Amino acid sequence: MYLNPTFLLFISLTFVFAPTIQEWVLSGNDAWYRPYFVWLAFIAFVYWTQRGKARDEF
Amino acid sequence: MNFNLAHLFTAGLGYLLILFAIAHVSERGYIPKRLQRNPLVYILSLGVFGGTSMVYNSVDLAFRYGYGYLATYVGIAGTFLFAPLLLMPLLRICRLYQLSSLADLLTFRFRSQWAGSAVTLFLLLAVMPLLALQIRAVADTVHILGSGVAQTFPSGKRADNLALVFCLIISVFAVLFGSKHRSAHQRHDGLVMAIAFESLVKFVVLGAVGATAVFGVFGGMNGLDVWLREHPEMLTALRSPIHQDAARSLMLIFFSVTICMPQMFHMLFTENPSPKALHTASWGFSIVLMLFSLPILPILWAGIKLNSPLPPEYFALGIGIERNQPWLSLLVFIGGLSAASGTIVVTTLAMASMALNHLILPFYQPGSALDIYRWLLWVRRALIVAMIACAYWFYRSIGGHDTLSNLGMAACVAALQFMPGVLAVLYWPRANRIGFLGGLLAGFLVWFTFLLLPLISAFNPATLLAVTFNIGAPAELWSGATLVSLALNTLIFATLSLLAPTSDEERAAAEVCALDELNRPKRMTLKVRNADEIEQRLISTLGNSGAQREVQRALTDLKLDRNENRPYALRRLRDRIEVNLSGLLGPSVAHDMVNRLLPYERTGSEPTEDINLIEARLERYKYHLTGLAADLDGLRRRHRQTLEDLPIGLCSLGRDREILMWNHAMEALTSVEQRKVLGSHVSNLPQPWRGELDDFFHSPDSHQQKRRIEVDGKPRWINLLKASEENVSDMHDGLVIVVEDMTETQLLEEELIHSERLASVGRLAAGVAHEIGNPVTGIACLAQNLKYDTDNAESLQTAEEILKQTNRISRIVQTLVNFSHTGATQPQHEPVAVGRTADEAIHLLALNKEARAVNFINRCSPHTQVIADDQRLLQVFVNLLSNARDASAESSAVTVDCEIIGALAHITVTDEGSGIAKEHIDRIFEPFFTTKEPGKGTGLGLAMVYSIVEDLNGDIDIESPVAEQNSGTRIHIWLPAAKAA
Repeated sequence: MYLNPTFLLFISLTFVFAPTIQEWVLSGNDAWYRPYFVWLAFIAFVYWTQRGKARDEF
Repeated sequence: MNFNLAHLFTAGLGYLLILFAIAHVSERGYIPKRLQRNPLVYILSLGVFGGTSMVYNSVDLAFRYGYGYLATYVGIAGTFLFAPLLLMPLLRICRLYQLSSLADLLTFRFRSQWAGSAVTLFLLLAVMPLLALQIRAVADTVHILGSGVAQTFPSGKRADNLALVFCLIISVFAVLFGSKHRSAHQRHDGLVMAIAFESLVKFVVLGAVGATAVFGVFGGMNGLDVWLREHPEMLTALRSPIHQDAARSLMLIFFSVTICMPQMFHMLFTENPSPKALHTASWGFSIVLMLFSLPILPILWAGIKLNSPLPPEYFALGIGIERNQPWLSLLVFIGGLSAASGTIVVTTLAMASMALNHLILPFYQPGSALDIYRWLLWVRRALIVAMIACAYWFYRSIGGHDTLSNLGMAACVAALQFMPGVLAVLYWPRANRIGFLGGLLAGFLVWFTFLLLPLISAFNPATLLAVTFNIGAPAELWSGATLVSLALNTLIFATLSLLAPTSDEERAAAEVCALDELNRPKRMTLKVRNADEIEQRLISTLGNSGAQREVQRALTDLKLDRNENRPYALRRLRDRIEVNLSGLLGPSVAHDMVNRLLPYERTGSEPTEDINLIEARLERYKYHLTGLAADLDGLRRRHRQTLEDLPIGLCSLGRDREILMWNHAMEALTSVEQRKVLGSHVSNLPQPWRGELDDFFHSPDSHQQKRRIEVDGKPRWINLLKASEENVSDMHDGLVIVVEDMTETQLLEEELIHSERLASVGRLAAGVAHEIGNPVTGIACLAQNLKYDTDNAESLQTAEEILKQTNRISRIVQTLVNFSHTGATQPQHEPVAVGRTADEAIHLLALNKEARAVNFINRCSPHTQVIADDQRLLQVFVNLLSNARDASAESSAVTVDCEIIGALAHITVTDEGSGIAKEHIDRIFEPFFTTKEPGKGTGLGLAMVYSIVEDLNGDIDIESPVAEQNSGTRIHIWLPAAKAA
């Protein structure tokens, strides 16, 4: 089974920094859109891990 | 503000007709295939998952759980984050085995029709709240817009008639476009385009309402900030609920919804155009979800600011009403209608196929007299209509006392119950059907009791908890029920799987599905011998045309010929037919049918592994191998290549004499191509190989030497050696046979024996010549004496004649002795008179009185000399003149010419014979090549000439036919000329 090392690193970092990220999201006062920044980072990361996977195979 | 019902009806119908038209033009191919298969279209079509929830429920969830509403989107996005671990392997399995639904997948893995039937039944129950939600959303919006805000559901009653009309219209649409294809596994390009368009409409609607909320209601982002500062309770409400279990439950539920809800499974796997599209969707769909979720909070706050009397779920509609913007309300209505219709069509389509394959076909199959494809199509259509009717009944049953979010939640929690089974498909080969069914049943009982029953009856779960467990109901009952049902489901699944035995079939299916295990198929013998026999067997169930179509389809898929009779190919054909039928009838029915109609022979011994198929699969899987596995695979390839490239013929036979290996040398030796022979039986080989290999297979000898065989009418000699592979491992059960071509060695040996015989004759001739020499010398002495002893003229003449004749005998004898000594001594390169040597050769040939009488004409000047060894040059002339004589007619001329050209002497030997055929000219100097009759020539004469001329630093060429006489042959030889003395 092939596990992308970047993916594993991401999961580990997310686990470690989850409380910090949550705290940052909730301490935004008027900045209600902060979760979307986290989400954008998440999308950028997935795009980065998938880049170059243009091959049409499993 | 209220709308005329007729206008709403016209707008709704008009929109559905647009969807209808999009689907139609796509099906007809008016939209380019490249666009239809574009990953963006696929990603947009995945937007079907939410249905009306995207437009309505999300606002309600944000109202109730604050940021918790994001968990629904993030849960789904999370599934796509895990695409390489979850979605991609599932897509691989579904593609490979033509599995079109979750029930197909679980039936295939657990090899149990009961599993498929249970999954289908539970999913039917699970989708009812989802379908009812869509119907109610459309009916409610029509009711709100038609009757005005003040009359919003005063007594929980709903617009049932409007709902019925919607159900009827959507049934027609679903039947027309959702069930066009015979097999559920085929892609519906029209449907995908229509659903993608539907997502696009949702974008536009949510964007328009969101923009109106921010810029129309709040006057821009600054205005929104100011309002939020004035209402801090909004931000507090937004943040506080995230700490509770509800958000986690929501994330968990929506993580599983992506795979387990039938409409999502259908769009994700069945309608997937390519693995590349899923790669793109793994990040692309997250963007779509984010864009869908962005306007939700502004819509919620705008609804609150405008004091909309509508429930939060209809705030999107309320903004248009409160701001008196009918176009906006109509747009929201169209968006909701679009989402609802898409979800209903895809869900009922997927569920109809599931119900057909897992609830009807296992118990009833039409006879071969009926056209099975037509029958399947009509049953599927009937099921779609029946399901929409059931959804309408469910909608009527729930009355008006639950929010849309609760209905959606009930459906999603039910879908969550399949998640342990799905994860086990990929990651737990030990899981079995008993565990799966036990866990599923437990999970569904909890779900039914705490989530479904309260929706359709007056049952209150809080009473049950109080009476049975003496505890109070939690604030969020669905959240507790989610966690309890899932925990119970998983616990029972794991426990029963560990305790109950797992069947061999399940274990094989687990190998197929597991990510890091390679399926190791067995090599069993089919009772049928070719594709026609397979077709005959299938007729009894599929009918004539059905059997013919399925066999042809499988042959085309595998690129096999209809005359194929290799056991390996027939096994693959059987598997392919099962896979194709699986797409049509479901995996369970297809598996049973193929097992019944195309059974394997029972040999009594344990079947061994099909290494050809395993290698083919390894070849496809090679990009997935990493680390040690990749290294081992590299070693396997290297060893395989070594065997393939061995310069000696090698083949491997199974216990049943199936050919497992056939290397390149074997191909060259037998002229039988590897691709045609691999996987076939020895009896399919052409003669003489069939007989030789078959006999040797059964022979107790481990080697046989110099077996003479006839190939294309020519004799060949082979050595055969074999080694048994028995008891090495499961993969090796037969013999490896080495076939060594000994033909050249054999021919050389024969030539050597012949040459040795000739050499013996030569030595004998030399001995005889020597013996003759002595008496001849005596006679010559006597004749000499006679000359001195008499003056008689007659006697003197006689003595002179005797001396002449004895001289002649001596010369002949000396020539014979010289010829027999040719090559025995170190060659001397010295000036040699060409004319004299040619004369000597002519003289030698004249001794053979039985040979054809030809006129040898030597036109060489006696002064022309070349640098050569006189004996070897003599050999050249003897061979050339002898060949010329053999090729010439009686009394014809053979001429030897010689002239000096610069530093070279150009010698020619010309005959008037038949000449040499064009195709032979290139080979004429090859050893053992002869055009003479068998036994007349050795094929070494000209080869020897060539070799001698080369040794003498000369060159040789052939001209045939001779230019000036248009027949005959002329040999040209160039040798270094000797300088004039």
